[in-house]
Amino acid sequence: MQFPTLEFAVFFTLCLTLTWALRSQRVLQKLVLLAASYYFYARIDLRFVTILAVSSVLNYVVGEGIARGRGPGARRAWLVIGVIVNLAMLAAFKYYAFFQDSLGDFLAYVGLPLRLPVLEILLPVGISFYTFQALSYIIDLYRGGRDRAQSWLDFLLYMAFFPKLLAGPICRARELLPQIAAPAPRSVPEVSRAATLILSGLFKKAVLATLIDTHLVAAAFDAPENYGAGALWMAMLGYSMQIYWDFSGYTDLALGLGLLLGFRLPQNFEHPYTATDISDFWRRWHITFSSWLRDYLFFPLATRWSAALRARMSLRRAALWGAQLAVLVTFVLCGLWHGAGWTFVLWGAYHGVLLFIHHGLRDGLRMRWNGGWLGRAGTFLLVSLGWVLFNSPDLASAMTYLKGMFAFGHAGNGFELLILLLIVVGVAMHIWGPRLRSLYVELSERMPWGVRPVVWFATGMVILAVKPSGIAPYIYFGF
Amino acid sequence: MHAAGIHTTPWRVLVAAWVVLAALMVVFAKEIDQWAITQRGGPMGPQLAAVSSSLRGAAQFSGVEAARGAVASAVLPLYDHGMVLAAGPAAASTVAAPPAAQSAGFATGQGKTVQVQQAGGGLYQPKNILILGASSIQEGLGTELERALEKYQGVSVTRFGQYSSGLARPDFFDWAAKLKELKAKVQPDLIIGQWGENDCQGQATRDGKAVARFGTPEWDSEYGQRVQEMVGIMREGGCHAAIIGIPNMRPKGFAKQVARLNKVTEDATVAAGGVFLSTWELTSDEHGDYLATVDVDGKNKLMRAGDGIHFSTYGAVYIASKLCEKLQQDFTFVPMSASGDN
Repeated sequence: MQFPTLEFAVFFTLCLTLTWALRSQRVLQKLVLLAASYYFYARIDLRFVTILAVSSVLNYVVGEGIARGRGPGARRAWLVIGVIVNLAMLAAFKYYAFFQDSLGDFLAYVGLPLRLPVLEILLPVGISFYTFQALSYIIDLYRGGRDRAQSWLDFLLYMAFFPKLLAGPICRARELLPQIAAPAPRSVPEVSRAATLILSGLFKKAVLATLIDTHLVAAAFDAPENYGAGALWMAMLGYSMQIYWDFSGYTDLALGLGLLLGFRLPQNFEHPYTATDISDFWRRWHITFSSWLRDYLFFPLATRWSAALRARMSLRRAALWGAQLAVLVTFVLCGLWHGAGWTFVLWGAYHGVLLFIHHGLRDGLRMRWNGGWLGRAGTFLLVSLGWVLFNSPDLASAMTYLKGMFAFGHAGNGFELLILLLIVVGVAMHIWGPRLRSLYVELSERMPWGVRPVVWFATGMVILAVKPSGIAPYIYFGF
Repeated sequence: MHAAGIHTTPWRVLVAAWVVLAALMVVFAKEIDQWAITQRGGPMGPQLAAVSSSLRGAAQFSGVEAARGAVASAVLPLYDHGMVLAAGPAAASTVAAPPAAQSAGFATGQGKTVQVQQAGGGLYQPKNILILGASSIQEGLGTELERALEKYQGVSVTRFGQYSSGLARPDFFDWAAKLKELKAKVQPDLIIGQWGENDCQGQATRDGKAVARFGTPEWDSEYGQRVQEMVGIMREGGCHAAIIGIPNMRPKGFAKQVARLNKVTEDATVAAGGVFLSTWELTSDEHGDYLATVDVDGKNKLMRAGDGIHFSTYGAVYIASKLCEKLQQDFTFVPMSASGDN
């Protein structure tokens, strides 16, 4: 059951009704939301529910162990158990096949006949997101955070809340648990904004992302040897737009649906392609994930390595080199989080190197860069080149694609004018989109209440009218 | 966390939500009716059929269905007929002129397939191949089969896939019409098609009327006729036809359905004079059970994706190579020379 379907509309309307009908009975309301979340997940695959439930229970127990632990040793032991269990689950479901295949190739290369058993493991949708969410919970508790789940029900709902279950946002305990623990709101917050977010998400995913995918991007990345250089450049830029519309469209839907249920989820995108440098990009792209990396990987690694280097160099240089090494490792792991494949690892390393260079120039050589439109264009181009690695099925295909982009005499298919128009629309939406959305919300708020749903429905019908047939699967569901 | 914002009483939101949902159900009445067809054999089949018929009636009476159709007819073609920019001097996958010598003495279409003979003797050598099918052809297996075939001398390949499609539901996607359109455009001398992965469901006519429930002799007869119709269209004008069977599946229930569908498809393909390329034995062990891995050059590789339905990247390459070997039994393909000359 995916978001932009009639089946989901029926499910959500029922869920909305029960949620608000039970607002004076908060525990019952939370049980209904939890049951709805598990039902939503079970509609994708019943087996996934078991994995989510086990993860939730284990992390709740670990959290209680940390919170109640007597002494730092016990609390640390619980933290270590929690981190190992979470990473082991992620490794087993997501990385076993990659590890088995890579190790097998290496062993064959060096002439060793050992083989790891080949296992067919189905990747539970959303496991990367909710595992990282659980890790943030137990680590924050260990660090002395006060946002501890007040009950097992609160924690299970924190983990499973269906608007954000499949592809985030990754919610910190301080962002969501207090809302779950508090008495139910007496009224629905910002309905106009919620409706606008839902319509925006639908338009981005059902129209823009699907059009650009089906009219060039999917075919070009599937068989780049069939396309000319111009088309490959357009497909690269097209994929940059597609992944943004796909993922931010999902996030818009999640935020809008969350608001209608009385919950405010954190923002995940801040028009990232207007970033003036690579560091700025990562402050705007998948914000909840990049801040997770910053707080739980980058800062601890940078602090530890800076301290280790202190014996050999000045404080400033130690801090710089510690941070530089940490950013490289963090982004390789960032790539690996996105997918079990060498293309993802290389994509992460690519961003790590870009950040390494950027920090070296900014903090090491103290060069100042005001960015401007040149910075924006350059950053967009660098990020787009990285997406070629990200979206290619393997390294050979990525190399074929990149070579093809510079083979200007190569006979190949072209691209439709529609693609160019969609890319221009994408850039325009980055610049003017937030203002348009605010305007739509303001106009909605000025209308009489009886007129607003008619206007929202009419807007939805316009989106339906221009929607191409079919909807491509969400890209981030694969992570 | 609770920033100031405009709040609305819940009952207003709920009334609006239910009114919007009711309106959406009328707007999407056709899709609901199509879904209800697939549930006919289920416990709530008659009730769903009654509700969906009522909704469809409301949609037709109010003019919503006609309006949707008119808007779709006006808007969707705009996406498909745009100007193409930056095409190369001789784009890949475009068709060379069809070969002058079409196959002489082609099989009569009765009984087993016969090897296709060229006028001068030897098996026919296809030059211009069209590959069609659903998602397995749109990507994965289709991509690797295209790449494998283009490694042969003089072969040009065009491929078209459509997600979620098949022969059972022409009301969703009309493959017969699409085949005619592509055949006229590409003028192939060999068409390879694969359908069936989405067809283990009730069949409907082009205007959405239920025809037969899966698992019944009526379904087998109707589907067999559709396969024969497709192969017939493929073979018009002397073109050759090959149909790829569906592989074994890990979900046992689905595997049984696919086995039944493959039998119907194979019989119909052979009866219509086409070549049937089975992938079942390539994806089954010695007991006929689902096989996920294959040993190649001492390496044990995963052939199937985690869902036990689709192929892994390696699996697609492997199966494509095996399909090319099978095609060599009925056609001639000459590998490229070492220098890569065509």
